[in-house]
Amino acid sequence: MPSLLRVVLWKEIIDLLRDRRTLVATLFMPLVGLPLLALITGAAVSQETIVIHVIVEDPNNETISFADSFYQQYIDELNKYSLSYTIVMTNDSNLSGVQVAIIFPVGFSQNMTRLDGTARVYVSVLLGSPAAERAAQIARMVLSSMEYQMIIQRVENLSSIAGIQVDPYSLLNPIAIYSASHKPGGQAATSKEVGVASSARLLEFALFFVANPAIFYMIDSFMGEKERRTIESLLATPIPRRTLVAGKLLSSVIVGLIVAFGDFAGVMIYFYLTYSAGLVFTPGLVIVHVVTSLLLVILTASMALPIAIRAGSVRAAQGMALVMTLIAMSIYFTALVVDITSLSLTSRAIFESIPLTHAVLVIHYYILGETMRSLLHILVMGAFAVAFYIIGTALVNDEKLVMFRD
Amino acid sequence: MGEIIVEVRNLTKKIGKKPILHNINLTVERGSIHAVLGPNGAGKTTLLRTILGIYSYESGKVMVLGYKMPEQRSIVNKLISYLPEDAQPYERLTGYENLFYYALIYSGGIRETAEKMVELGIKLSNLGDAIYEKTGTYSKGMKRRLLLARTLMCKPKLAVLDEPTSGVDVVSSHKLRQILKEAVKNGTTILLSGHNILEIENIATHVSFINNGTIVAEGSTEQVKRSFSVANLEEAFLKAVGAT
Repeated sequence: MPSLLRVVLWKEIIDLLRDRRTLVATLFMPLVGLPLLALITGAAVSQETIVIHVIVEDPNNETISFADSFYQQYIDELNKYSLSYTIVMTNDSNLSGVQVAIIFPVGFSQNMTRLDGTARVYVSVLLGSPAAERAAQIARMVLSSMEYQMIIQRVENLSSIAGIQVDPYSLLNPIAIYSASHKPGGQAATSKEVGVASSARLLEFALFFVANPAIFYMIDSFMGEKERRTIESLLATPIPRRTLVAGKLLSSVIVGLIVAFGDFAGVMIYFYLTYSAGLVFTPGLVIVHVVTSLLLVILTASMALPIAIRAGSVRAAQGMALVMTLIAMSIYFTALVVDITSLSLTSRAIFESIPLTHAVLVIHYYILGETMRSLLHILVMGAFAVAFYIIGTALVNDEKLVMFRD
Repeated sequence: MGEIIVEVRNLTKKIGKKPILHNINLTVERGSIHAVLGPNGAGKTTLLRTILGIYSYESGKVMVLGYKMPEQRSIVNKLISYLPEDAQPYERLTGYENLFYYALIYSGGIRETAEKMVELGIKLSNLGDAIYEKTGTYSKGMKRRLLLARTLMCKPKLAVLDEPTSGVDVVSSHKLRQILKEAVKNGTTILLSGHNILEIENIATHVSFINNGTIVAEGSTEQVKRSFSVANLEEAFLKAVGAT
C-alpha cells in the first residue's frame, strides 16, 4: 500500500474509532438494541393477560356439553402458545372488561343437531388488542376442528340412513393437495434447501443494515472535515487528491464493515428470537453473504463519495444520504416479498440499474445454484464501485470543498 | 529587490457572478514577512486561497516559487504550508498526533523525517505535556499555537497564514509573533493576512493594503508610511482607503 495512503488511513481510522458516540449509536444500538427489543416484545407478549369469556346463552344441555368440550380444548391450545390468560365459562352476556368472547347463542343445540341446520358461534374481540386477536384466532381454530368432527358425524349418520358405505374423510376431501418445491433445473428441492432459501430472503433484507453505516461514514469524511474546519489546510498539503479520496473511502469501508457486521449480527439475533420457522444456514450461504456484504459496503461507500464531495454541507449530504438509504430500504424490502428476477423486463431493468440490487441477485442466484450468474453480479457490484470511485475522484474541487454557500 | 517568492499580476477573481478581486498585483520577496491588510470582506482570504491554488481565477497570473498556479500546484504544495483563518485541529487526535499526521504527509510517509518535524513542532508550540492530550480539551490560544507549529515545522519556503492571531489573547498573540520571527530566521518567507494593523506592524516587513478587492498600496512598511507621510500603518491605511 502506498505510504501516503497508509498515513491517511491511519488518521481516519483513529478519528472514526475515537468517535465513541457515533460508534455506539451505529454499532451498539442495533447489536444490542434489536435483540433486546425482541426479548422485551416477547416478554411483554407473554405478560399480557387476556380476559376470555366463554358465554353460553343457550341453556340446552347439549350446548353446555359442546361448550364445555370447546372450553377444555381451547385451554389446551392456549397453553401450547404460552399465552397468559384468564378464562371463565358463564351465561352472563356482558362484554365489559372482556377481551375475547366466544358466545354460544340461544338455539345453538337445535341447529347443531339438525342435519340441515347451521349453528352459530360468535367470536368477539376487543378493538386494538393484538393479544386478543391471537387468542380469538386460536378459538376459531379449535371451533373449526370441532366443526370438522361434526361434519364427519353428519356424513356417517347420512350414510347410515342411506344404507351405503362411505369413507367420510375421502368424501370430504376429494382432492388431496401435497406441497413440494423444486429448483430451476426441475430437480426436487429438499426441505433443508427450502429452509435455506427462506433464510436467504431474510439475509437479502438484512443487507439493508449492512449497506447503511458506510454511507454516513463516507459523508462525514469530507463534509464533516469541512464543517469541523480541518479540510482547508489539508488541501494545501502535498497529498494527491486520489490518495486522499482512496484513504477516506478505505477507512469508511473498514469502519463501515465493523459496524455493518455488528448491525447484521443484531438483526440475525432479532430474527432468531422472533422468526418462529427458524433459520437454516449452510457454510456456502454464509460465505456468499460475507462476500456480498463486503462488496456492498465498498459499493455504498463509493456511491456516497460524490455526495460527500459535492453536497456542500453536512445537512445537504445527510439529506441526500437519506434518499440513498430509502432506496436501499425499498430494494431490500422488495426482495423480502418479491422475486426481482420474475418481474417484467422493464421493472427488472429499473431495479438492476440501481447498483444496490445486485447484492440481492448475488444471493438469489447462489441459492438457485446458478453460481456463474451469482459471480456475474459480484463483478457488476465491483464495476459500479470502481466507477463511482473514479467519478468521485474527478468531482473533487477544492474551491467547492472550502466554500460555504447556499 | 530580493528573490521573488510570490508574484501576482492583474488577478481577477469572481465567486459566482460576484467579482471579489479586481486586477490585483502583488509581489512577495524571499525572507520577508508580508502582510496583506484590510477590513473584513476586503478579499484577503480569497486572495490567499487563489495564491495557494485552492481557488481558480478568471484572468491574470499567479506564480509561486517560480511555478504557475494552480497548474503546478502539486509541486508547490511540497514547498509551502498554509494556516487558514478558522482552521481547527482534529479534536479526537492528540496534539502530537495532529503534528505527526501532517509531518507524515510532508515527509511523504517517511517516519524518521516526520519525527524530526514533530520534534520541531513540539518545540514551536511550547504546549508542554498538553501535546499528548486530545486537542478537544485545548483553549483557543493553545489550538492556534499548535496549528502554527504544524504549519511551520516542515520548514516551508513559504508559509501562508490567514489571520494567524485572530481570536487569541495578548499573551498567545505575543508567543505566535515570536514563533513567526523564529521561522523567518530559519529561511521561511511569510505571507499573512490580518485586520489588526497595529499588531501586525510589530512583525511585518512588507505590507499590501487591500480594500474592496483592490490593492491600494504596497511596499515595505517604512516605504508605505513614508509615502503617506504618517507615523504608523493604521494612519497609512486610513489614508489609502480615503477614510480620513
